[in-house]
Amino acid sequence: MKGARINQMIQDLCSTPESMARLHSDPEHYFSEYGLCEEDKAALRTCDALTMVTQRNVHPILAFHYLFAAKPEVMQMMSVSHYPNILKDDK
Amino acid sequence: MGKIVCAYATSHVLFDPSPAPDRAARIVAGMQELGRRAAATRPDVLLMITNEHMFNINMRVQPPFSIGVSDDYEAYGDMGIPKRRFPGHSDFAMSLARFTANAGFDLALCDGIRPDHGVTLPLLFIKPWGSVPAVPLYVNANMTPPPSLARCMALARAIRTFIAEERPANERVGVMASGGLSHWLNIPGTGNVAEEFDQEFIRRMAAGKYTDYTQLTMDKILNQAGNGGLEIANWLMMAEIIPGARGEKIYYEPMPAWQTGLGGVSMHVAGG
Repeated sequence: MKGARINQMIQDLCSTPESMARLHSDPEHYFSEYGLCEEDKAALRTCDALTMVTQRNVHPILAFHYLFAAKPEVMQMMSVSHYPNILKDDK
Repeated sequence: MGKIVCAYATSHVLFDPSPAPDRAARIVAGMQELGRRAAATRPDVLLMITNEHMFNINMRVQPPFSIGVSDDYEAYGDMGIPKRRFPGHSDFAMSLARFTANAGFDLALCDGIRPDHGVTLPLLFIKPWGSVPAVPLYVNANMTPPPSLARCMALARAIRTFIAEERPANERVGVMASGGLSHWLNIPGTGNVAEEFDQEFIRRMAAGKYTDYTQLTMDKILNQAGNGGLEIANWLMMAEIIPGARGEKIYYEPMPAWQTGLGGVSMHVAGG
């Protein structure tokens, strides 16, 4: 399927903490481990979900997963941590 | 025979409220109200019709329908939801899988998954955490093609029969759908909210007229409500399990800053 390698790379980010660590320590090397082409790498560097999806066939949800990994501020925005009251009495 | 004691549907995200704090507060209040109502009916098990967000069910294996069959889960921890444990109900889940296998549905069994916010965010509102055993039933809106609404409705009817005819007498069953409403998730149209579609959908759900939607193709829903809007299939399945039931809108807010419309309905069921 189109986009198989780039999608597989992103899926691995979710399944193994080691993958996440490798991305953070050296993204370009991590991209190369999956044999991504230059167009894939360029799309990932934009950190623009629509670009990844429309130009490189990244699954729309996996585009979010990549953003969460690459830009922690996105994950922080999409979080219930803004609502401490709903977590308060959960034991 | 089992007894359906509550049935409801709700969106399943909460983001930074700062772009629209009043609307966010009304959404939270609506989710809290739905959770309070569900808890008050004291269900023995909560069947949660939802969709996975590719933390567990991704592109490697893409089953149209899956069911969590564990007796114990740990929340995945996405969306800032704590990685707490909560009970499942393997007897209910495995019995449902066996029943539906004879009704033409081969549900993929998921043992040991860590449910994401599609399950865990609605559970945050049923206090105390973990007080109701949950059975996740996943509809795969992420695959292309997704399961058709005709197939979803047929599965819902099988579930209805299962609860009515196969479960122990007086077992108290809750049915919850989570997902939607309109959102264009990282596709052209991202950021759009189809408020008119959302409002009309909720109005018809509450009026018991959900069948107006069940003839739609998924492509048509995608065009009208975005790829995230496909999650209304979960709501429609909940409604098909309790056909004829009416309900009430608990909340709806368009949230362009969150790139979605969010809503919830509570259905009136005889056993509640």
